[in-house]
Amino acid sequence: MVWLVWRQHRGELLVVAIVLAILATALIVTGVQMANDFQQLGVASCLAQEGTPAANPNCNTILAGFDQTYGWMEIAVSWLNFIPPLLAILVGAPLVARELEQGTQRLAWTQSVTRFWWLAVKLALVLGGALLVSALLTALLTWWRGPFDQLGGRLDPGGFDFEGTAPLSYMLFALALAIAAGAIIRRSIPAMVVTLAGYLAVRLPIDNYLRSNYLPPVTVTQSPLANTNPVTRADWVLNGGWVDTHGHPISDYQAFSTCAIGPGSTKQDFFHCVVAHGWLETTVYQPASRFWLFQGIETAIFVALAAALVGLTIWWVQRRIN
Amino acid sequence: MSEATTLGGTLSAGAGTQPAVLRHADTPSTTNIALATAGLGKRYGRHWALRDCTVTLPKGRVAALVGPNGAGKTTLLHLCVGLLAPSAGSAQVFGHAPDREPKAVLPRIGFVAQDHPLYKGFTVADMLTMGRKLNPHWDNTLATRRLRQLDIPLDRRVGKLSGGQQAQVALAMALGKRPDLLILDEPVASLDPLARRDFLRALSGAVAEQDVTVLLSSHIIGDLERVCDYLIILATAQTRLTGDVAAILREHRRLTLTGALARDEATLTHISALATIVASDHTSDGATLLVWLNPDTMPDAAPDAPDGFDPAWGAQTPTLEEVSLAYLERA
Repeated sequence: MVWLVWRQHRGELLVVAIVLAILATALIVTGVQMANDFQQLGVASCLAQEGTPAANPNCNTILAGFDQTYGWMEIAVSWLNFIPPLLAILVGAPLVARELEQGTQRLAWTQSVTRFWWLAVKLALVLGGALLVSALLTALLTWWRGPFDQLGGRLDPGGFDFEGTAPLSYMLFALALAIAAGAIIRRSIPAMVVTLAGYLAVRLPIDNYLRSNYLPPVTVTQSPLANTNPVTRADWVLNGGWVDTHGHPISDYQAFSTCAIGPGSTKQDFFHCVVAHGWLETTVYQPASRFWLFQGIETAIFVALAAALVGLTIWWVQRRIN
Repeated sequence: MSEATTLGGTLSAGAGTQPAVLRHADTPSTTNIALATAGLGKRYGRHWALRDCTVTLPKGRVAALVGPNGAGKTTLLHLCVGLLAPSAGSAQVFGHAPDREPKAVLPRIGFVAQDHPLYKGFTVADMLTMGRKLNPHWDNTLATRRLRQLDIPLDRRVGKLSGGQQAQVALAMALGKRPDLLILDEPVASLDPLARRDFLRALSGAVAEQDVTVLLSSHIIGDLERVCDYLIILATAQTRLTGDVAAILREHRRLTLTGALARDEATLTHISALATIVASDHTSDGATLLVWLNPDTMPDAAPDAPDGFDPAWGAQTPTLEEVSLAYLERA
């Protein structure tokens, strides 16, 4: 049975290996260069000395320069979010659907293996293989994102989506969805469409709305003239603004129209004006320390979805294909 | 000794109808039966693809399952190999239900589905490897030898083979399992006459070699007469006739009435008293009747023994095709 799965899917395996090799090469080449520049351009020392008296006054320029050179790469990498659904479409959607489309289930299910065993081995090998691919990519991306993690932390979507255990759970979910769609719809192409639509329909709301509320965000209110920064670089800032002494929010428009008067006024003038009105700066954020907790929650969600879909597939293939 | 013959539904005789007759002259024990169905039915929504199908296939027979398209042949065969679960009744292969006890049934059956599905991207050698990996009793020597005898190259992709060669590969796959029951769904329907003959010849050869029961469905009856010794007729989702081919031919007669005789009421009444009229075909200058002689009332009926038939009736042994068509035409 293992031989049969390999033989049926060896073409797909080749495609995946090639794509993975190309991605890995691109990431390694750019990653090495980025890590080097991170050290040699002084970004690393800037961050280490940030807030201390030894801070280099040119740090703003240095950081801006690094962002100009490499900032677009972080955005480009976010397209790798499509790797799980693409792999699912390539391997998962036709897994059961193609057998049914071509009628070869009449051959496969009348050998001496039961339908359950046929499906179980296929699921185990395909899901296991996909998990391996995801683990490799995650390890590679975690290393690649070293500089960005130091600059902006790993909690915001650019990092969270590619590090930790969550990416593996996305992969499991995508494949489980594709395989189930193929088994139920019985046609490969519609199953592919359903997979992509379903994957986005689940991940986008979670990425954009649910995740920021896994635990209630922390709100810090302080004077804009305070010496300490309310948040660190690694924290995930969700929102910020101005409030008056009673806690009522003051819109940015109101703040700027009241206090940013004319040319020549500096940031310090603005802050003094704000303080004079009795207003405070408020920051809503998720602390960096919650990274692994949030990873655990999100992983659990997607693993549970994947498990439910796998169960549905097994039940459907055994009882309903009739 | 007469074999079991089953007539499903009513037969109309000249005067009044006779009830359905269900007899087993010798009831085979369960160990002698390869396949037994009882009231087997399969429903899709409101539509019954197969209904009230009761069939017993003794071991060692080469059985033909005959019926028009849409009769439920494929449904019956799929129920027997566990691809479908019954909506009503039961099917037992060697005493086990195929859909609920696949581990007991699957290794003992060989199945070639309609259009002989194969993995088109595999080479023939890959197909044999698949057979070896998925079947505990796989006989690779047997399968390879069969293909070599037919000059089918092992390194050719299945998709590049001709239809006849693909059918032979599918048959080799089924036979390589060394099955006790071989089930074939319209195996020669899409083949040209030469390929058809080669296939049936290969099948006969295999049957002679191995101790295997065969159930073979077809809507072309002529080919089967040489290969099969047991007949199951299925029409509009119900069984019409099952039994040993030799017994069936023994128990039926084709009567050819010419001219005035065909319209004579007295003649028809006389015939009805001796036998049951299964089908009649009236033309402008005569009639052809297919009649069934009840072996209980005609215990020694044989083609050359006296059966009370007037020689003017022109009684002859029918062909299997004539018998099948007669039962298939009944409403």
